[in-house]
Amino acid sequence: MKLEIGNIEIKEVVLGEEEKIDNGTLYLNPAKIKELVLTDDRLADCKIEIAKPGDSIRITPVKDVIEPRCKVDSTTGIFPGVINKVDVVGSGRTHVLKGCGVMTVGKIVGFQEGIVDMQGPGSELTPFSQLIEICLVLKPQEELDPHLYEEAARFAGLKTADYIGKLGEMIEPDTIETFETLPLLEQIQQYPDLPKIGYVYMLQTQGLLHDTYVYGTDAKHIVPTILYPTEVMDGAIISGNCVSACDKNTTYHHLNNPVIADLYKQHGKEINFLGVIVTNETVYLKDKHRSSDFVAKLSEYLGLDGVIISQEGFGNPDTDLIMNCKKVEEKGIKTVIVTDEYAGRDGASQSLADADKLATAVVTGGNANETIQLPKMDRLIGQLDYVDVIAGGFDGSLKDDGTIEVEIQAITGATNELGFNKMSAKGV
Amino acid sequence: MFIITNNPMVKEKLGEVCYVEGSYGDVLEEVKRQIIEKHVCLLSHPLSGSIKPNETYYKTIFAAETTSQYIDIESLEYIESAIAVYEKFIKNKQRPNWSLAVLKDFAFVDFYIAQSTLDRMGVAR
Repeated sequence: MKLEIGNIEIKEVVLGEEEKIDNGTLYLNPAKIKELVLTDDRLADCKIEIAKPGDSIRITPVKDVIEPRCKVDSTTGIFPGVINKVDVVGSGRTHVLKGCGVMTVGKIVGFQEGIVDMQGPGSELTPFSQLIEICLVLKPQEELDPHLYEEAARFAGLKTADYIGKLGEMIEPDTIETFETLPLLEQIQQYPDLPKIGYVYMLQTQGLLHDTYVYGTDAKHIVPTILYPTEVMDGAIISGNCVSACDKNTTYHHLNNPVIADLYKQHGKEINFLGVIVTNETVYLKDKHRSSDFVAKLSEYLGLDGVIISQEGFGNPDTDLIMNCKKVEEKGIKTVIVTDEYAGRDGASQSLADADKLATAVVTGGNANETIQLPKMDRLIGQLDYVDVIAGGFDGSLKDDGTIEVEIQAITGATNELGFNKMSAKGV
Repeated sequence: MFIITNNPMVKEKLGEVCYVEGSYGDVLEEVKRQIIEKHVCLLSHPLSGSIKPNETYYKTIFAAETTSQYIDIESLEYIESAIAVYEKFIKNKQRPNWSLAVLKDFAFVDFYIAQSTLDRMGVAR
């Protein structure tokens, strides 16, 4: 499977009557976007607001971020099985509007959604402060159940990203990257002397506000399966997860998965990247055993020498992570796990809820219990009265002068467990 | 299979449950007691959901009675590890005094996760 990604750099977003991309400027008509979003009669209102890097703006509560993309000269569409027909994606050509994101904003439940500051110390902890954010501030019909509102908000973001992405179909991209993974036996033959590496991609799937979808299917009901890495770049995996702002994977994270990007960078040089095993994180213990058994079995069946395993979320997913690691290691396959930590404000407590002596190589996205002072911003997109009850917010964390004291777990993407965050120690 | 919960919405909607009048921590302690004294085994992970134990007030856990004369060690390890995580979070930061609307949302999410777990088990209620 071979995919060309054509990157169109967006340097400015202008709201008005026109809808086009011209010389790096994206022109959008908010009335058209509003009309598209409100075709879902579960939603009562949608306001479109723009936030740019460096602006004195706080956005909260953030639900999802989605990068606008479109398939070019294709009968398939992005986000297959969700807003476009179910069809295998990951080949042909995809145009991407780099430098911007569609951000869904709105209170689904009275707690646990993220903050994105576009300037100041908070902005340094989230990659989303570096994008021009096209915010959809949503309001549901009165008395709408949270699970129906979550679904409506999820579709609103995906539909808008698909709609905006299509403005790039006829635009000549600034850069083109090519990614290719061959069918298994051919891929093994292509680089027979390099170590065969796979990626175990764990998806949050526990129930309301904790779900992820693969080709439109609720991933809690799948047994682990194999994807070509390029399928992920076309939206085969989308987020329905509203919980744990710092370490949930937004749809933007999935589309730009850094583990896949880095494995491709080494593909044919140091490693032979064979593919992705997607698996879930469930509540029912039988499912945990079954899924981790399948992960180990598929890793062995593919003939892998090593795997990278990434986690999503906190608590019982730690058990899935350790089960996957242990069972894969017991097959004689080396593992590296990618996670984050809840190690207390001083960082001295046990970081994960589970552990095993076979988990010897760990990459961390940081300690979510670290605290930060967020200064007042001039403008707010969304609602602030819920900051007190966002994960990591303290009682009375919103001070009279507009400053907020929070644990960094309140900031969207701060300790991302794919490594798509800005907190790291790098060799020089 | 039986349900141990302190969530009134689970009690109301899922029928017969082992209802704990107390906190999230009390539910964990009750489950631990039953694992040790009655040799029940866990069916669901005690840290279900990524909502932190010092945020949500509600916890619902699925377990099964056994005829075993031994304690199920896997269940005991999960519950002890969950209690350690619970104590770590409560020590780090006490749960805020939530408004009734927020408590209702927490109850709803816990109930919904319980319902999804029942679906996975193939149990109709």
